[in-house]
Amino acid sequence: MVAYNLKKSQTRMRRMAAVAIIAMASVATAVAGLAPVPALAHHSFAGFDKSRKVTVKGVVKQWQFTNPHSWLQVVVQESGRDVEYSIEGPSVNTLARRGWGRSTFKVGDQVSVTIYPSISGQKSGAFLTATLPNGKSISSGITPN
Amino acid sequence: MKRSVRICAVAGGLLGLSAALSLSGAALAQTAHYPKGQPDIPELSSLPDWDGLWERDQDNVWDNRIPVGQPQVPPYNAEYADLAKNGPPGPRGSAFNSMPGYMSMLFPMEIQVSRMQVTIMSENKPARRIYIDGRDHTEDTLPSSEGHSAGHWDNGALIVDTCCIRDDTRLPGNGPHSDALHITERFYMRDYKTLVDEITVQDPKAFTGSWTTEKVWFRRADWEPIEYDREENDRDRPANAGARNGGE
Repeated sequence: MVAYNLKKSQTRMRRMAAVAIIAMASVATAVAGLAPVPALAHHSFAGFDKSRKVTVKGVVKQWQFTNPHSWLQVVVQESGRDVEYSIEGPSVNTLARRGWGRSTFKVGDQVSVTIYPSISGQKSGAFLTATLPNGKSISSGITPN
Repeated sequence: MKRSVRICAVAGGLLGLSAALSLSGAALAQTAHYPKGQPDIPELSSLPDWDGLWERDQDNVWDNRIPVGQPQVPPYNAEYADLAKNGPPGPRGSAFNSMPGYMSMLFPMEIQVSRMQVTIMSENKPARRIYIDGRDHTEDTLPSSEGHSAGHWDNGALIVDTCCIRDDTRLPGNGPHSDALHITERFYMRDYKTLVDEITVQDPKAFTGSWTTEKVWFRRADWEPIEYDREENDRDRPANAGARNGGE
């Protein structure tokens, strides 16, 4: 197991920033003409490097569809070793209204997840988009009005 | 027989006393005060169809009319500008849980309209009550985080007056305010799916003018409330190692 020894202050900042960052991902959706909503643009981005997008490919170890935030645990092969990433997403109420659910990810699913990586270098990040085994891509975009 | 009569008389007297107390509402700190002497309850058929969930437009900041990156500060006078800059931090926590910051909601707004009150809820907040049955504030209304809100209908719009907000709460942006904080609101439908709340904040002791904003929500007729229990999987909590470690 890796990525669980963050200092608390760092962890807390990351939690607070996660929703903001994920919502920012929706700005891309807005540009595409679906949702003209610059959500949470005022919020702090401390804890995540929003200048970089990293895509990790691996196997779902667990999907925690929980509050205050959801977590996707993904095991990724790096230099021949299993490395576990903790990928943070929005709250249950926010995701459920965008069509996500407890079975969005299943244990053993092969997924490709794009994240804003943690600034501290921990194996963690903020969820942006994911490609599921069936090839479908999902994000946590804002509901169109 | 005699004794039971006496008991009945005592019980009757107590009942009368409690009834008298309950009627003398204006004399008590937090009982309903009706300036007309009795409730003035709107007809059920006159109430608008606002029940249900509403999704906010844009960001959950005070004023989305201000471009991103520009400061959102109240029109403080010199004394309060100094207090905001150099004063002690407020003891009462999040500005989102007291008025007027309450109306900047992270999660959807739920509205229930009854003949007595308009109730506003959100998944991470206590309920806010706007009384529409003819009651008003009193001089003794107890200060609270959300204040005391009295409203009435005006041609389909809900006009709300809020007083009595604790002076140790914070304004949006975490600035201070005085015990003279006073808020007026006008809720109205821009169209069938769009609800607007125009908010005007005044504080004669702390501001040089009014501080205004406009909140916009969209009707989400097919949404229902979803529990938000932030203790469920708080990874900052030491006892939560199970969730943190994937349940193993």
